Amino acid sequence: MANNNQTRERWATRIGLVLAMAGNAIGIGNFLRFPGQAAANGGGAFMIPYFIALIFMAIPLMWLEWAQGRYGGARGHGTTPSMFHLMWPHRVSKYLGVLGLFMPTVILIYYSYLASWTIGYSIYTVFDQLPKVQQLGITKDDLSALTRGEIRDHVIRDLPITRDDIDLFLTQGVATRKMVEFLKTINLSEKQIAGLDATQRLEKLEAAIVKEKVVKPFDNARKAYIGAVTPDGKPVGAVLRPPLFSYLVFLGVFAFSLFVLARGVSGGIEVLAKIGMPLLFILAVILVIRVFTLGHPVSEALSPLNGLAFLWEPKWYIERNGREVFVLLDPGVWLAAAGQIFFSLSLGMGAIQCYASYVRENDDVALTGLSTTSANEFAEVVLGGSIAIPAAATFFGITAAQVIAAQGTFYLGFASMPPVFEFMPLGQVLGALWFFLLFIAAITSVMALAQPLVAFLEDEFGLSRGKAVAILGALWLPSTHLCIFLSGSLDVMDFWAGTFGPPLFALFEVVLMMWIFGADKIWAEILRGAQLRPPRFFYYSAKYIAPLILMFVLGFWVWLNVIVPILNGTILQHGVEGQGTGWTVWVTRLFLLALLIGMGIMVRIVFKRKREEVAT
Amino acid sequence: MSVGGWIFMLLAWAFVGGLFVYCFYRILFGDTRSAGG
Repeated sequence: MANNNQTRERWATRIGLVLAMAGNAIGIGNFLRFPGQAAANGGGAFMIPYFIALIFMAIPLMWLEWAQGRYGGARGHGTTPSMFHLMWPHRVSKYLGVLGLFMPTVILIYYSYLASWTIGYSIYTVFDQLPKVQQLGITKDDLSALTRGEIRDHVIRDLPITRDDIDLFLTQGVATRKMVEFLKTINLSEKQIAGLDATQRLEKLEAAIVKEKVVKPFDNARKAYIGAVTPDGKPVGAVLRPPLFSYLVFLGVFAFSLFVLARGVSGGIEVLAKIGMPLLFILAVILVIRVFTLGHPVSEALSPLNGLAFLWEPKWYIERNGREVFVLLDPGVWLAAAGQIFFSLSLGMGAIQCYASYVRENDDVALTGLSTTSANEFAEVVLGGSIAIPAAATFFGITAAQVIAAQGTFYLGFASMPPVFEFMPLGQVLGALWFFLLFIAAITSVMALAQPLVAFLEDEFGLSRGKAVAILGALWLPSTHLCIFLSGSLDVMDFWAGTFGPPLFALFEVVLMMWIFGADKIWAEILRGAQLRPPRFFYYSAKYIAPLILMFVLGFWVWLNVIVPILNGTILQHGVEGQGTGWTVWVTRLFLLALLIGMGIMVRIVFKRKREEVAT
Repeated sequence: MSVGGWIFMLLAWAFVGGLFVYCFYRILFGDTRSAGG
């Protein structure tokens, strides 16, 4: 029961479409995940595999998804089950397309909760509800002394090391048991500690002190925000107990999202993108300018340039399993680069096709698709790399910034940035802007993730927009409660829908379009109405190189996450998602399986109805 | 930062910045045909 093509909504303006699609791609990962990945995988050298993956895989795939979306939209379908079936009328194709409904919906379920953290933190910052570094007994002067190698007594108070441990370690290179345990907090093994020279010993000790004394209380505050620890820092176990504030903020984000979605593609999503995306770029530029004008607030030896150097200095050899490996020959670096590009651009999720289905049949997709790619890359490479890491390096030093970046996305954004802002003039305002920036990045992605299921219900079941949004809400709200209350649930969802699923689905897409539907036909589809003629090179890249890169990414990923843990016998302890095998993990897995089967049944009903309509 | 670091950073910034400016110039000031018509 495809919606009449004449009644399908359309984007009101082209710039609105570009901004909405850029909002889909630009998310929290641009500002937090990219700098961490780059710094951990060769710095400037990381950009070689990064740009190769962008040019050979991401850009052709982006055009394919845009063309597929417009092709489906012109025939009254905004989601991949029907798009796949239109391009490959085989009984299996529509079920492969179910993944393009399943993944955005699952990501929506947990990502909307992440979005609520960002606005919750922005409110916390405005009302001064986060911990205070000064209350911890640390001043800018203490940090300055630390960078000169002067470790003051009150700074190490409450830490599990003594002055004697420090003196022994720094002067004689002897690491006591307490010191070894303390340095393990920055992931240093005993062997690595033994191999440090005098300068490195001081740097590592300073980094561990900054992490444990300055940043850790903020990480505990984040854990308290999501209810993973009690207000006095004790773990709560499998069932999380978030404070009422966190819960209410999520409900607010949920209600706001439904409100925007109910107003439609052009009246809601497009309006939000037209306001949100320029605001995001303005806020990001303000923060970049502020970071680059910090000067030397802590020490003459530290400035934002140190952070840039840390991020961009090419490291041609990196350590893997205790060996020095040439960075471009390390599969892990290629996997990280391809993965970052992939997830950053929201490829292989079905969300791009859905937005592109609201483009008119003869409107350009080539220039428009490249524009959204360029907006995402600008936000990631130029702006994303110039805020969090340079700011952290300016106040905490390069080694500490390195340690912070290695702890992951949320640690960098939610634990290290609040103390950094506290040391800056107008820090409260800047901190609130930082979290608001992340909120805009997240909420515009939430819209794109919600739209496929709404479009499916509208297009295939002929429901009104209001009813479709209500059904989405009825599924979304209870499902997010798994993430809110069950420990590890969010990570399990992220693993299947955000990490493993997209490259697999992208492989299906590229094989279906370039090899089954026909490379020449889909290429002609891209060129129809094009205001930019993609060079022929991208045709061959889409046909041969992109599938090979995707197979490599999937194959190496399965090797690392499935085969190696099976061979080592650790899969039974950690599960394939690395989140253990507790009951919360199993509940989430069963939920995901039920959702996937439920969506498969919905698709089956739709196609059965279609057959019956044709028969009568 | 070493010369190598500067080169990598500036090349990367120039590439994505150039692409961004080119695309948005074309979108905003090129053919004015809108997606929505």
